[in-house]
Amino acid sequence: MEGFQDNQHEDWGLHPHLEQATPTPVPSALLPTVLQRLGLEGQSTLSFEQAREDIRNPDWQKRAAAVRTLGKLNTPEAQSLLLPALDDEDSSVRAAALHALGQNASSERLFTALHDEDWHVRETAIFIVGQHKQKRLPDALALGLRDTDVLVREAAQMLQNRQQTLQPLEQPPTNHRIDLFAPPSPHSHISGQQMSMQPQERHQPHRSTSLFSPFMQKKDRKLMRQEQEQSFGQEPEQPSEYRSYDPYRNGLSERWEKATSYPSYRRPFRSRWYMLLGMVIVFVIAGIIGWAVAVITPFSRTNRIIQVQGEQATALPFYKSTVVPQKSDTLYTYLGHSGYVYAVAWSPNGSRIASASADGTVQVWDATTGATMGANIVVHRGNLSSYSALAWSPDGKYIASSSATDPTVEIWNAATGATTATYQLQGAAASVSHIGAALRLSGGCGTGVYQVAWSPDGTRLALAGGYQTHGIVEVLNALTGNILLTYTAHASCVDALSWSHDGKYIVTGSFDGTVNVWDAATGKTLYQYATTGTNDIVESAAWSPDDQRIALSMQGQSIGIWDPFNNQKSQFTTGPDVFQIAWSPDGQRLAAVGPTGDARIWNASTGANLAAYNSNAPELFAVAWSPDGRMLAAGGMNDAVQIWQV
Amino acid sequence: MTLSDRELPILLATDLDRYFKLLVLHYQQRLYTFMFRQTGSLQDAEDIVQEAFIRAYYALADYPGERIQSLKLQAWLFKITLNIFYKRVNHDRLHLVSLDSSDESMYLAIEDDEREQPEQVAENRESLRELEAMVATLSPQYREAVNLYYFEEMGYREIAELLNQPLGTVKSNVHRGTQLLRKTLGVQKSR
Repeated sequence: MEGFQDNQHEDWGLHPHLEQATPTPVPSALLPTVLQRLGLEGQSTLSFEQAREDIRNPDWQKRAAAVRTLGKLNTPEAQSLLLPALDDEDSSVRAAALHALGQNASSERLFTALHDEDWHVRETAIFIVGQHKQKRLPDALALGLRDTDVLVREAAQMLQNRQQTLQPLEQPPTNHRIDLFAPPSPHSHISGQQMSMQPQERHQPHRSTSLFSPFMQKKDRKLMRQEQEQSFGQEPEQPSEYRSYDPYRNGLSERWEKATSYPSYRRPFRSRWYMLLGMVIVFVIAGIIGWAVAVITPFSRTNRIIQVQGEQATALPFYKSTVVPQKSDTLYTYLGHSGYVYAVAWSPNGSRIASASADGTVQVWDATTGATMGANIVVHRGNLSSYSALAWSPDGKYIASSSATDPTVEIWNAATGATTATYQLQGAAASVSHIGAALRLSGGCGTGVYQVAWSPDGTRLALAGGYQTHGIVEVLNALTGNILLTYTAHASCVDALSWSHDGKYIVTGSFDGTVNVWDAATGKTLYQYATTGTNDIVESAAWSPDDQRIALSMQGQSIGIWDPFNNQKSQFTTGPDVFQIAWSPDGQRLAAVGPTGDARIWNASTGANLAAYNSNAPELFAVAWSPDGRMLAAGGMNDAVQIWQV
Repeated sequence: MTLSDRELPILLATDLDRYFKLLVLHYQQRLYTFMFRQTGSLQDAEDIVQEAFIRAYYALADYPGERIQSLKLQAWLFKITLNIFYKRVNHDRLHLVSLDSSDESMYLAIEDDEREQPEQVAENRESLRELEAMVATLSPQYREAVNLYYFEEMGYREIAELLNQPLGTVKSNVHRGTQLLRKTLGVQKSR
């Protein structure tokens, strides 16, 4: 183990205000040209004849304008002219044509559009499906919620929220059939596939991707494999009105069922009775097996989910097991999210785990996963489109959650998901440390709360983040939201925050390369550590359980151990970058995650790498020890939280 | 007229044709400057930003009002603009200058202690322009990351969501792009 270099801070950031120093004047013709091209300066609208001509014009904008005109006409002739536009080479034209056809778009076309290479076309398809009176909404939602693009996910989330106010879902018509033998669009990711399926026996009408599609995304294949594993001993199909509460369930389970069933175009009435009888038998057998498994293993259960709307919470049956046994040291994987998992934390008594995700939810679930029946899952849907930080109150009753792209912090009841208070980071009112800014120029922060932490006595709340280019930390009265102090000693975004267990100190780390220990009551900086030249960004900081040391992770591929009171420093190289670091409760080990997708355990004294747990996620963003130090939870880019026995 | 980022979506949802002009006025400077840094060409920047606004109009015209009100317009416009930029790059309609590997290795061969502090350089307006020109010589992925991070002042996660890239990739590109700029500065100063 080598010592930290005592160093003069050497920052190589670039000046953030270069743009203001050298604005490039916008050509005066830009605005008039845009308005003129859009016909917003009094030009007459296109005639049908002109639109019919323009729809074959080489200029994409002419074609888009023609599509809009034809869409407004809503005549059979106009519609027939619109159909070829769905295969237009230009994505704006394809999206406009889809919108113009609206509910007249066929299922095949919608299916193709939901897999278009362009995010805007997929987003439009989501909205069109939403106009179909929810006939095919759940399946499209499942696709949209897992889309790689944040805008498509937001659109799906919006529809899902709207759908929840329209329960129960309308059943699809029994004579509706989707035939996907039609030639695929050249713009589709699913081209080359031939599938035929009939939706009338299912709530969700079609499988969105094929197991055998060479174009299917790797993530989809993986999820499908996981579903195959889950489907063993699968529990009975839940009533349709419960489906929307579980984004993962929507679409994926029928994917597996479709993949393992023969296509059927029409089923006689009698066969339904046989099917019902079969289902009853399966229920009974599954119930017996489920009971036996629950007794034998502590990691199987029948979950219950609590759906929260406003201040009311309703307990609902939740049939899909979120537990996937994997390998010997993997206890289970929680799959309730449909977006990256940015934060994970165990409740103070270790009975529950909370996970914050880019899917716009924070979910609380039973950490022991079914050791007792009736365990709950709470889904908090606040007003943030994505959650990236969370913290349990010391009494385990409340959770504070926030987003790195929004100044809002929500405080909510961990048992019901109901929001009890909302606070805003008041970055605009804060003055920036100009000395710091002069010495340490850095890049953007956005405006958001990167980290949140409760004081150990639960009376105060610390918010750390950025306001444009400023790094800022605010300490609030947790009950009233009144700002008790504002800490602005960091010149750039504050990405690391930890409150000492005795409540006296706060350590913060910043993109400006500094780590400061300061008095939590006065805001006075007491100790400072500055990284070396290449280690510009402090990713994570955490007090040791005895409050004597601070573990730091830095972009420069190293973990540092800093004793600020005795000015002792040590570091060891970790290899890849480390996004988050966490002390084991005994203070002997450190868990670290980063862009390799595995969680590594390090000896905090020697720097020896003790173990690595692979998650199958490309990157892991969050890691947390259970309070007893026997388990590790990590979340990341596979939309999952994996639990290992350490 | 000064509009907040929250007011404009509401107006656009109310009457797109009437208020679209405000959207252009509000964001044209930022998009144009950003695109100029990306392309290094005033004409290309103008063409791309024009097209971006037109595509934005068509998209907004098809969105439900609820969707328009929920949009983070700035990030959304950047996304549209970058899509057009990359489409043009892929169709060879833009001729970007980029550092080839030999240039890069030359820069990286310079020792750290030979470099100049960028903030010292930044005190000089002429040097600022040099720095801006240097950004335009970075390869596209570094240029984009440096542009968004330093000039547009976006956070890592914001950039990751905008570009649909892993967080680690964004951090790495910003870090690598910054390193290349330092080396470039070092080389120029040592000459």
